[in-house]
Amino acid sequence: MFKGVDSHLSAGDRTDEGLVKSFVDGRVEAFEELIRRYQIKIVNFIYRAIGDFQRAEELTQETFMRVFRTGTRFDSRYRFSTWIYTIAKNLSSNELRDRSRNPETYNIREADWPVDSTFVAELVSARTLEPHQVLTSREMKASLEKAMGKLDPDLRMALVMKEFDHMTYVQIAEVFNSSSGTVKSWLYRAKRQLANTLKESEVF
Amino acid sequence: MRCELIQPHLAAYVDGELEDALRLDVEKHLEECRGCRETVLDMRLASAVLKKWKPAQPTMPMVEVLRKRIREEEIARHTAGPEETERVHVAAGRSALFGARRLALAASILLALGVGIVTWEWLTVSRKPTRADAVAALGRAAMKVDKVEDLRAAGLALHGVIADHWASPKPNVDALVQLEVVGTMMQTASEVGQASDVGKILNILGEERVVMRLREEIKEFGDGTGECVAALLAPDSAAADEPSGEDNTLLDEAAKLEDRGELEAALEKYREASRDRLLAMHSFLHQAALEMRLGRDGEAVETLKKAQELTKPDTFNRELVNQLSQRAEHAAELRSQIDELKAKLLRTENEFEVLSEIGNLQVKAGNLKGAKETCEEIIREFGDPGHRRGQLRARLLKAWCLREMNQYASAFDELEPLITDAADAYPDLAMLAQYERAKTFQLRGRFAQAVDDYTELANTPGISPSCYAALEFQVAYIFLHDLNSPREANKIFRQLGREAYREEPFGRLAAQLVSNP
Repeated sequence: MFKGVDSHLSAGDRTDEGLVKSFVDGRVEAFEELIRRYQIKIVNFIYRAIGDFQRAEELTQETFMRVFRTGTRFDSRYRFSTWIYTIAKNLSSNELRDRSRNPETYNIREADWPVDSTFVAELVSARTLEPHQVLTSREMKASLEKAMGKLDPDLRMALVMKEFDHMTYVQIAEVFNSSSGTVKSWLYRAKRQLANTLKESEVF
Repeated sequence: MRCELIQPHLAAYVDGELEDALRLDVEKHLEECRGCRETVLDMRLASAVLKKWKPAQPTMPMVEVLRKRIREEEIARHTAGPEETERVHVAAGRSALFGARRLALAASILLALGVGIVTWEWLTVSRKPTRADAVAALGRAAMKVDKVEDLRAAGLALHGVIADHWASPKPNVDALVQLEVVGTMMQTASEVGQASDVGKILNILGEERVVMRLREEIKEFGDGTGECVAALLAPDSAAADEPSGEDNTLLDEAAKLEDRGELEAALEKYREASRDRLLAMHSFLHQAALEMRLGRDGEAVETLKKAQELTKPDTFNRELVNQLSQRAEHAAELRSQIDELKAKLLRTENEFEVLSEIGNLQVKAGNLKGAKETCEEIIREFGDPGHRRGQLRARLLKAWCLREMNQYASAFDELEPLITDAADAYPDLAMLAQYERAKTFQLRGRFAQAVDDYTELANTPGISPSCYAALEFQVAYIFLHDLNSPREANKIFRQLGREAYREEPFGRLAAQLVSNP
C-alpha cells in the first residue's frame, strides 16, 4: 500500500527546510513532497520570466535536479524558497542569454488567458474609456506579451516575483544577491515601463 | 516635496513596502500632485492586467519524470569511464603543446610547482590578507610593472598569498576563490604569452597605461620562436636574459660578418649557446623548486647558487633567482621553528594545536611533502568529534598539497568523500573542497566537469556576489581558452557585466570585455 509522506515525517520535519534535511538523509519521499509544493510556483515563475511554457517545464525539471544534486550543501539558516527561486532565476537568465542572438517572441498561451472581457470593464470604469477604445481580450493579451517582452529580464523576473509570487522586496533582493534598494528601483522602473507600453497599446 | 524625490518610492508605495514616515510623505504629495497620482493609477492598472494571467498547470507528471531522471543519472555516473579517458588524452596533448614554451619560462614552472615568492608589500600586513588587500597590492604592484616578467613575479607573489591563506585555520572561501582565479588567469596568460589576456587581467586593476605598454612587450615575448634573435635585434628587450661572456664573443664575431649565409650560421651558433645556458639555468631552478617542495631547503640554496652563476647582474632572471634564494633561506629559518615545535610535540598536551602550527609553517615554507605528512598525522590521530573541523581541514589541506604536487588522482581520492563528509556541519569546508575538485578537474583537462562544479558552487545559496562573479568568470575563462567556445564565454561575460555585478572586480572586467570585445 502506498504510504503518504505524512506517515514518514514527524511534524517538525514538515517545513521546507526540514524536508531538505530529510531527503539529504536519504528519504526520497521528502524530495517528492518538495516537488509537489513548488512545481506550480516554479513552472509559472519561469514561464512568466521567459515567455515559453514548454521550455519552462524543462527548466523546472532542471531546477529540481539541481536542488537534488546540491541539497547536501543547503544551509538551513536560509529559506528553501529563496534558494529554489535563485536556481530558477539563474536558469531563466541563462535561457534568455542563450536566446539573445535570435530572440523568440514572448508568448502567453491562450489557455492561461481569460476569454471573457469582464476585466476590461474594470479598466474602463477606472479610466472612462470610450467603447471603441476598449480592446478585446485577445488584443489585450498581445499587448501584455509585447509589454512583458520589452522589459529587461531582471526587471521582469523581479516583477513576477512581486506580482505573482508575492515575495517581499527583501526576499527578492536575496534571490538576486542584491539590496532591497536596488529591487525598489527595479520595480519602479518595471511598473512604469509596463504601464507606459500598455498605454501606448491603448489598453488603458 | 518634489516629484523626483517621491517617484522612486511609488512602486514600493503601491506594494505596501514603505515605512510609515515615507508613506505619509508620499500620501501627502499625492494629494497635491496630479502627475504622481496618474503614475500610481497606471501602476495599479498594469498590476490589474497582470493579475488576469492565470497560473498554468504542468503538463508532465513532474514527480515521476524527476524520479526517472535521478535514476538515469545515477546509472550514468557509474558508467562514465571511457569519455573521461578521452578527455585526459586531449589534455595530455595540450600540455605537451605548451610544454616547450613552459620550459623557457622559469617563473611559470615554479608557479606550477607551487613555489611562491613572497615579495609584495601586502605580506607586511600582520592580519590575514583579504581579497581586497591582495587586489589592492596587485594594483600597486602593476603600477610598477615594466616588464611582463614582473607580472609573472606578481603572479608568483599572489601564489604565495594563496599558500599562506590555505595555512590559516579558517580559510575564507570568498578570498580564496578570488585569489585563485586571478592566479590561474595570470598563470595561463603568462604561460601562453597572450598579450591580450595579461592586458585583461591588468584591466581589472584599472591600469590602462601599463596594459598598453605590456601588450607591445608581450607580443615579442609571446613569439617563442626566437628569443635570442629578439635579444640581438633589440638589446634592451625584456624578452631574454643578457648574453653571457661566451655568448658575447659569439655575437661580436657575428657582428663582423657581412656575408648573409655566414651571419645566419653564426647567429644560429649564438642562439644555441645562449639557449643551452638558459635551459641549464632553468633546470637548476626546476631542481631547486623540487627540493623545496620536499623540504630540502639547504640543498635548494646550493642549487640556486649554481643557477645564479648562469645569470647576468641586473636582469630579470637574476632577480628571480635572488627572490627564490631568499625564499629558500626563509624556508630554512622556518624549518628551525618547525624542528623546535616537533621537539615540543613529545611533551605537550596540545598535540593537535602544535601539529596544526607545524603544518601551517610547512605550507609557508613551500614544503608540501612535509605539510602533507603532517596532515596525514592529524587525520590519523584526531578522529574524535572534538577535532572534527580540524580533521576535515587537514584532509582539505592534504588534497591541496597533492594537487599542488600534480598528484591529481590522489587529490580526487581525498576530495570526493570530503565534500560529502563536510557538507553537514561545515559547509564552508565542503565548498572549498568542491572548489579544489573543480580546479583539479580543470588541471587534468576535464573541463566539462570543472564547469559543472564551478557552476554548482556559483548557485550555492547565500554566496556573495563577488564570489559568484569570480566563479562564473572562471567558467567563462574555460569556455574561452579550453573549450574553444567564445560564444558561451561571451554570454557569461554579458551576464556578469550587468548591474548587479558591476561593483565586483570580475563583473567590471566582464563589462569591459563586453564593451570592447
